[in-house]
Amino acid sequence: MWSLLKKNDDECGKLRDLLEDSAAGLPAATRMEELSEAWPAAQRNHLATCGRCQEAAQDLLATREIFKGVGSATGMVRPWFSTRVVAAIAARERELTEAASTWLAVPKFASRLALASAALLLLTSTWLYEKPLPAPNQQAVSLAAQESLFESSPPANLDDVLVPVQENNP
Amino acid sequence: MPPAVAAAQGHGSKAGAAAHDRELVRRAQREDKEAFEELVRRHQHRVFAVAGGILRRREDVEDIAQQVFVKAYFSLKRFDQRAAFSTWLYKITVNECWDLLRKKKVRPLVYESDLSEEQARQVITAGDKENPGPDASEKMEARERVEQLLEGLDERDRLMLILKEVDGFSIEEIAEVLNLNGNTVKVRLFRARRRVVSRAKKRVD
Repeated sequence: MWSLLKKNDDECGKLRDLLEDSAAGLPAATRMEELSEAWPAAQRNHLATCGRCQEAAQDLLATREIFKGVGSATGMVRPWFSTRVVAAIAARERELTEAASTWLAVPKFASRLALASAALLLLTSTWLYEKPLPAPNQQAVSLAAQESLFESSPPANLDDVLVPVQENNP
Repeated sequence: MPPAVAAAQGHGSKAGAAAHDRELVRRAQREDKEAFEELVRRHQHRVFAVAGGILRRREDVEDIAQQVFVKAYFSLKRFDQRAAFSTWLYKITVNECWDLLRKKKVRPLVYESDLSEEQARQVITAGDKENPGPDASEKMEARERVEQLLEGLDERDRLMLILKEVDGFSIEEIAEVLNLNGNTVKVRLFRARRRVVSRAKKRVD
């Protein structure tokens, strides 16, 4: 039983291969008979008796009919497409070269850049170290001292202030 | 002509094309831009077909196709030619398209009503010179109908059907594009056809 089923499946497989090949070779065929015309008798008999294979053949022809008249995207290719691709490649190459040359310049100038930075650092720190301190403004100093006198030494005991006030105004 | 002879002839020319591709790739790897431009010309139609099967919007398809070739050029030095150049290129195309869809979160196939009148006319009349057939309005109708029938289908199945029925890819080529086994493609194609046909029948009923 199993071997019979397997044999049947193999035959169906072979017939479908044949069907595909015939359909590819006969793009204008619309009937099953046209497709199977050149087939060996055994395959034609199989097609006549096998419902699944008949269905497959009918589906193939029906799909072909459904797709009839649909334009292919290959018609979208414009004549200058290959030129456009080559131009895009050249533009991309230029971009890559420019980016690479920018980064190549960094190691080239790295030693000089390091020397210049070190010299600048040395000069700045020396200048800061040697810079004379600005002379303090006398008026500002005295004002600051007064402010600090009032702010920093409030009366320790408020009673000390209140008692003389009371004495003056009995 | 017997199928076997035709297949052998096809194989022969395919092998020749692959050998020519390999030579062009070698030259392009040495930064020969003319060789790469030749590769673009040889594969642009197929790349457009694959991208168009997933995206449909003309602008997206064109941009992605350009992006695919630019990416391919800059990755070419790492390409060891163990696989065919076309296989490698289709994989890049599929990945770029799905990346774009993930980023944009747009519907993979847009209806004509989503396009401007001009865009729709461009899409519909694309390829008219090569395949004179139904006029623009018939094509528009056909596309509208097909896209509605494809709605709800798995992304891969939808792409398989478009590549097979619209762009005439072979099973091997579809397997190459989607990185699947040929038998898997056949089985999935039959199932996808079944679904589309039954949906069409339901609509008629």
